[in-house]
Amino acid sequence: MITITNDSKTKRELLFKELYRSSFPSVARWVKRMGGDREQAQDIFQDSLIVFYEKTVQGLLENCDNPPAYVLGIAKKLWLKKYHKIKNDIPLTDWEKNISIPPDFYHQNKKQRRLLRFVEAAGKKCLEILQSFYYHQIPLSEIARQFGFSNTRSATVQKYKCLEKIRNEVKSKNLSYDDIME
Amino acid sequence: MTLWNESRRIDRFLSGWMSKRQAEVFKKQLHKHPELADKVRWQKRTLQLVRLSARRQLKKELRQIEAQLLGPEGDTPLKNQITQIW
Repeated sequence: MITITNDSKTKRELLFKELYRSSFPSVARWVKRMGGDREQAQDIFQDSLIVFYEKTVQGLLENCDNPPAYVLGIAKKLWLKKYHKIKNDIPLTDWEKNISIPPDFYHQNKKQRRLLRFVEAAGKKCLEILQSFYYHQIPLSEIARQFGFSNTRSATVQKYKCLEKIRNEVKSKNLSYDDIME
Repeated sequence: MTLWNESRRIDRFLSGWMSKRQAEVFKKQLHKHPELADKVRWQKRTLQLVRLSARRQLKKELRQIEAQLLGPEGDTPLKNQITQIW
Protein backbone atom coordinates (compact mmCIF):
# COMPACT_ATOMS: atom_id res chain seq x y z
CA MET A 1 0.00 0.00 0.00
CA ILE A 2 1.33 3.39 -0.89
CA THR A 3 0.89 6.14 1.61
CA ILE A 4 2.28 9.55 1.30
CA THR A 5 1.68 12.22 3.79
CA ASN A 6 0.75 15.39 1.99
CA ASP A 7 3.74 16.95 3.59
CA SER A 8 6.91 18.81 2.98
CA LYS A 9 9.25 18.91 0.06
CA THR A 10 11.66 16.63 1.92
CA LYS A 11 9.26 13.70 2.09
CA ARG A 12 8.34 14.18 -1.53
CA GLU A 13 12.01 14.15 -2.44
CA LEU A 14 12.53 10.85 -0.64
CA LEU A 15 9.64 9.30 -2.54
CA PHE A 16 10.96 10.52 -5.88
CA LYS A 17 14.49 9.29 -5.18
CA GLU A 18 13.15 5.86 -4.33
CA LEU A 19 11.12 5.80 -7.54
CA TYR A 20 14.14 6.87 -9.57
CA ARG A 21 16.12 3.92 -8.23
CA SER A 22 13.31 1.41 -8.63
CA SER A 23 11.74 2.58 -11.89
CA PHE A 24 13.97 4.75 -14.07
CA PRO A 25 16.07 1.94 -15.58
CA SER A 26 13.01 0.04 -16.87
CA VAL A 27 11.48 3.23 -18.29
CA ALA A 28 14.81 4.12 -19.91
CA ARG A 29 15.07 0.67 -21.50
CA TRP A 30 11.55 0.91 -22.84
CA VAL A 31 12.10 4.40 -24.27
CA LYS A 32 15.22 3.13 -26.01
CA ARG A 33 13.18 0.31 -27.57
CA MET A 34 10.79 2.99 -28.82
CA GLY A 35 13.71 4.75 -30.53
CA GLY A 36 13.98 7.50 -27.94
CA ASP A 37 17.17 8.97 -26.56
CA ARG A 38 18.35 9.50 -23.01
CA GLU A 39 16.97 13.03 -22.82
CA GLN A 40 13.54 11.85 -23.91
CA ALA A 41 13.67 9.06 -21.34
CA GLN A 42 14.51 11.53 -18.57
CA ASP A 43 11.75 13.88 -19.66
CA ILE A 44 9.05 11.19 -19.91
CA PHE A 45 10.15 9.67 -16.61
CA GLN A 46 9.89 12.99 -14.79
CA ASP A 47 6.42 13.51 -16.24
CA SER A 48 5.50 9.97 -15.15
CA LEU A 49 6.51 10.76 -11.60
CA ILE A 50 4.35 13.87 -11.65
CA VAL A 51 1.30 11.87 -12.75
CA PHE A 52 2.13 9.17 -10.18
CA TYR A 53 2.44 11.79 -7.46
CA GLU A 54 -0.91 13.37 -8.35
CA LYS A 55 -2.67 10.02 -8.24
CA THR A 56 -1.03 9.19 -4.91
CA VAL A 57 -2.02 12.52 -3.37
CA GLN A 58 -5.58 11.97 -4.56
CA GLY A 59 -5.63 8.58 -2.87
CA LEU A 60 -6.06 6.69 -6.15
CA LEU A 61 -3.12 4.32 -5.62
CA GLU A 62 -3.81 2.91 -2.17
CA ASN A 63 -4.05 -0.60 -3.63
CA CYS A 64 -1.06 -0.28 -5.93
CA ASP A 65 1.33 -3.05 -4.94
CA ASN A 66 3.83 -2.56 -7.75
CA PRO A 67 4.80 1.09 -8.10
CA PRO A 68 7.60 0.52 -10.64
CA ALA A 69 5.23 -1.30 -12.99
CA TYR A 70 2.65 1.43 -12.58
CA VAL A 71 5.20 4.18 -13.28
CA LEU A 72 6.29 2.29 -16.41
CA GLY A 73 2.65 2.06 -17.49
CA ILE A 74 2.23 5.80 -17.02
CA ALA A 75 5.43 6.40 -19.01
CA LYS A 76 4.11 4.33 -21.90
CA LYS A 77 0.82 6.24 -21.95
CA LEU A 78 2.62 9.58 -21.81
CA TRP A 79 4.95 8.54 -24.61
CA LEU A 80 1.94 7.66 -26.72
CA LYS A 81 0.25 10.95 -25.86
CA LYS A 82 3.33 13.03 -26.59
CA TYR A 83 4.79 11.25 -29.61
CA HIS A 84 1.71 9.40 -30.92
CA LYS A 85 3.64 6.25 -31.63
CA ILE A 86 4.07 2.83 -30.10
CA LYS A 87 5.93 0.15 -32.06
CA ASN A 88 3.50 -2.48 -33.29
CA ASP A 89 5.50 -5.31 -31.86
CA ILE A 90 5.39 -3.82 -28.38
CA PRO A 91 1.73 -3.21 -27.64
CA LEU A 92 0.41 -1.94 -24.32
CA THR A 93 -1.22 -4.50 -22.06
CA ASP A 94 -4.91 -4.09 -21.24
CA TRP A 95 -3.94 -3.00 -17.75
CA GLU A 96 -1.60 -0.34 -19.12
CA LYS A 97 -4.22 0.86 -21.59
CA ASN A 98 -6.55 1.53 -18.65
CA ILE A 99 -4.15 3.86 -16.88
CA SER A 100 -5.66 7.32 -17.04
CA ILE A 101 -3.62 10.41 -17.77
CA PRO A 102 -4.93 13.88 -16.78
CA PRO A 103 -6.49 15.40 -19.93
CA ASP A 104 -4.61 18.69 -19.43
CA PHE A 105 -1.20 17.03 -19.44
CA TYR A 106 0.64 18.16 -22.60
CA HIS A 107 -2.35 20.30 -23.50
CA GLN A 108 -1.30 23.89 -23.12
CA ASN A 109 -1.56 26.53 -25.77
CA LYS A 110 0.49 29.72 -26.09
CA LYS A 111 -2.01 31.84 -24.19
CA GLN A 112 -2.12 29.40 -21.29
CA ARG A 113 1.66 29.42 -21.07
CA ARG A 114 1.72 33.22 -21.14
CA LEU A 115 -0.98 33.40 -18.51
CA LEU A 116 0.92 30.89 -16.42
CA ARG A 117 4.01 33.09 -16.42
CA PHE A 118 1.85 36.03 -15.39
CA VAL A 119 0.21 34.11 -12.55
CA GLU A 120 3.57 32.90 -11.31
CA ALA A 121 4.89 36.47 -11.21
CA ALA A 122 1.72 37.98 -9.76
CA GLY A 123 1.91 36.62 -6.25
CA LYS A 124 4.41 34.02 -5.18
CA LYS A 125 3.12 33.47 -1.65
CA CYS A 126 -0.52 33.34 -2.76
CA LEU A 127 0.37 30.82 -5.42
CA GLU A 128 2.29 28.68 -2.94
CA ILE A 129 -0.67 28.65 -0.58
CA LEU A 130 -3.05 27.66 -3.35
CA GLN A 131 -0.66 24.99 -4.66
CA SER A 132 -0.28 23.58 -1.15
CA PHE A 133 -4.02 23.29 -0.66
CA TYR A 134 -5.37 22.40 -4.11
CA TYR A 135 -2.45 20.50 -5.64
CA HIS A 136 -0.49 18.96 -2.79
CA GLN A 137 -3.70 18.67 -0.71
CA ILE A 138 -1.95 19.70 2.45
CA PRO A 139 -4.46 20.24 5.31
CA LEU A 140 -5.12 23.85 6.23
CA SER A 141 -3.85 23.22 9.75
CA GLU A 142 -0.48 22.26 8.27
CA ILE A 143 -0.57 25.18 5.82
CA ALA A 144 -1.18 27.48 8.79
CA ARG A 145 1.94 26.10 10.47
CA GLN A 146 4.12 26.19 7.34
CA PHE A 147 3.17 29.75 6.38
CA GLY A 148 3.14 31.17 9.89
CA PHE A 149 -0.58 31.83 10.29
CA SER A 150 -1.88 32.04 13.85
CA ASN A 151 -4.52 29.38 13.31
CA THR A 152 -6.40 27.33 10.73
CA ARG A 153 -9.12 29.95 10.29
CA SER A 154 -6.54 32.60 9.36
CA ALA A 155 -5.07 30.23 6.80
CA THR A 156 -8.55 29.53 5.41
CA VAL A 157 -9.36 33.23 5.07
CA GLN A 158 -6.00 33.88 3.39
CA LYS A 159 -6.55 30.97 1.02
CA TYR A 160 -9.83 32.48 -0.18
CA LYS A 161 -8.32 35.95 -0.42
CA CYS A 162 -5.53 34.53 -2.57
CA LEU A 163 -8.01 32.67 -4.73
CA GLU A 164 -10.02 35.82 -5.34
CA LYS A 165 -6.89 37.87 -5.97
CA ILE A 166 -5.50 35.53 -8.59
CA ARG A 167 -8.93 34.88 -10.08
CA ASN A 168 -9.46 38.62 -10.59
CA GLU A 169 -5.98 39.08 -12.03
CA VAL A 170 -6.52 36.22 -14.45
CA LYS A 171 -9.83 37.71 -15.54
CA SER A 172 -8.31 41.17 -15.91
CA LYS A 173 -6.12 39.78 -18.69
CA ASN A 174 -9.44 39.42 -20.47
CA LEU A 175 -8.68 36.13 -22.11
CA SER A 176 -11.64 34.19 -23.37
CA TYR A 177 -12.65 30.89 -21.87
CA ASP A 178 -12.10 28.93 -25.07
CA ASP A 179 -8.68 30.40 -25.61
CA ILE A 180 -7.51 29.03 -22.29
CA MET A 181 -9.38 25.77 -21.95
CA GLU A 182 -8.95 24.25 -25.46
CA MET B 1 -23.43 37.01 0.75
CA THR B 2 -19.88 38.00 1.62
CA LEU B 3 -17.20 37.53 -1.00
CA TRP B 4 -15.58 34.89 1.18
CA ASN B 5 -18.78 32.86 1.43
CA GLU B 6 -19.26 33.11 -2.31
CA SER B 7 -15.72 31.89 -3.05
CA ARG B 8 -16.27 29.10 -0.53
CA ARG B 9 -19.48 27.97 -2.25
CA ILE B 10 -17.82 28.07 -5.65
CA ASP B 11 -14.92 26.09 -4.18
CA ARG B 12 -17.24 23.44 -2.77
CA PHE B 13 -19.08 23.18 -6.08
CA LEU B 14 -15.93 22.84 -8.20
CA SER B 15 -14.30 20.38 -5.79
CA GLY B 16 -17.38 18.13 -5.73
CA TRP B 17 -17.93 18.63 -2.01
CA MET B 18 -21.59 19.61 -2.35
CA SER B 19 -24.31 17.02 -2.03
CA LYS B 20 -26.20 16.19 -5.22
CA ARG B 21 -29.10 18.37 -4.13
CA GLN B 22 -26.88 21.31 -3.16
CA ALA B 23 -25.09 21.07 -6.52
CA GLU B 24 -28.41 21.08 -8.37
CA VAL B 25 -29.53 24.17 -6.47
CA PHE B 26 -26.21 25.85 -7.20
CA LYS B 27 -26.43 25.02 -10.91
CA LYS B 28 -29.86 26.67 -11.04
CA GLN B 29 -28.36 29.76 -9.46
CA LEU B 30 -25.69 29.81 -12.14
CA HIS B 31 -28.42 29.99 -14.78
CA LYS B 32 -30.14 32.84 -12.94
CA HIS B 33 -27.01 34.81 -12.08
CA PRO B 34 -24.56 35.21 -14.97
CA GLU B 35 -22.08 37.10 -12.80
CA LEU B 36 -21.88 34.07 -10.49
CA ALA B 37 -21.44 31.76 -13.49
CA ASP B 38 -18.65 34.06 -14.66
CA LYS B 39 -16.87 33.75 -11.32
CA VAL B 40 -17.18 29.97 -11.44
CA ARG B 41 -15.62 29.90 -14.92
CA TRP B 42 -12.70 32.08 -13.85
CA GLN B 43 -12.17 30.16 -10.62
CA LYS B 44 -12.02 26.93 -12.59
CA ARG B 45 -9.45 28.46 -14.92
CA THR B 46 -7.48 29.79 -11.98
CA LEU B 47 -7.34 26.36 -10.37
CA GLN B 48 -6.17 24.86 -13.63
CA LEU B 49 -3.37 27.39 -13.74
CA VAL B 50 -2.48 26.61 -10.12
CA ARG B 51 -2.21 22.95 -11.13
CA LEU B 52 -0.07 23.71 -14.18
CA SER B 53 2.18 25.96 -12.12
CA ALA B 54 2.59 23.26 -9.45
CA ARG B 55 3.55 20.74 -12.13
CA ARG B 56 6.21 23.10 -13.48
CA GLN B 57 7.59 23.49 -9.98
CA LEU B 58 7.58 19.73 -9.48
CA LYS B 59 9.42 19.20 -12.76
CA LYS B 60 12.11 21.62 -11.57
CA GLU B 61 12.43 19.61 -8.35
CA LEU B 62 12.71 16.38 -10.33
CA ARG B 63 15.46 17.76 -12.56
CA GLN B 64 17.42 18.71 -9.44
CA ILE B 65 16.88 15.27 -7.92
CA GLU B 66 17.99 13.62 -11.15
CA ALA B 67 21.10 15.78 -11.30
CA GLN B 68 21.95 14.69 -7.75
CA LEU B 69 21.37 10.99 -8.43
CA LEU B 70 23.16 10.86 -11.77
CA GLY B 71 25.86 13.41 -10.95
CA PRO B 72 29.46 12.78 -9.86
CA GLU B 73 28.47 12.20 -6.21
CA GLY B 74 25.30 10.35 -7.18
CA ASP B 75 23.87 6.86 -6.91
CA THR B 76 26.47 4.54 -8.45
CA PRO B 77 24.27 1.47 -9.06
CA LEU B 78 21.66 3.67 -10.77
CA LYS B 79 24.28 5.48 -12.84
CA ASN B 80 25.76 2.16 -13.95
CA GLN B 81 22.38 0.86 -15.06
CA ILE B 82 21.69 3.98 -17.12
CA THR B 83 25.18 3.98 -18.62
CA GLN B 84 24.65 0.41 -19.77
CA ILE B 85 21.48 1.46 -21.58
CA TRP B 86 23.10 4.44 -23.28
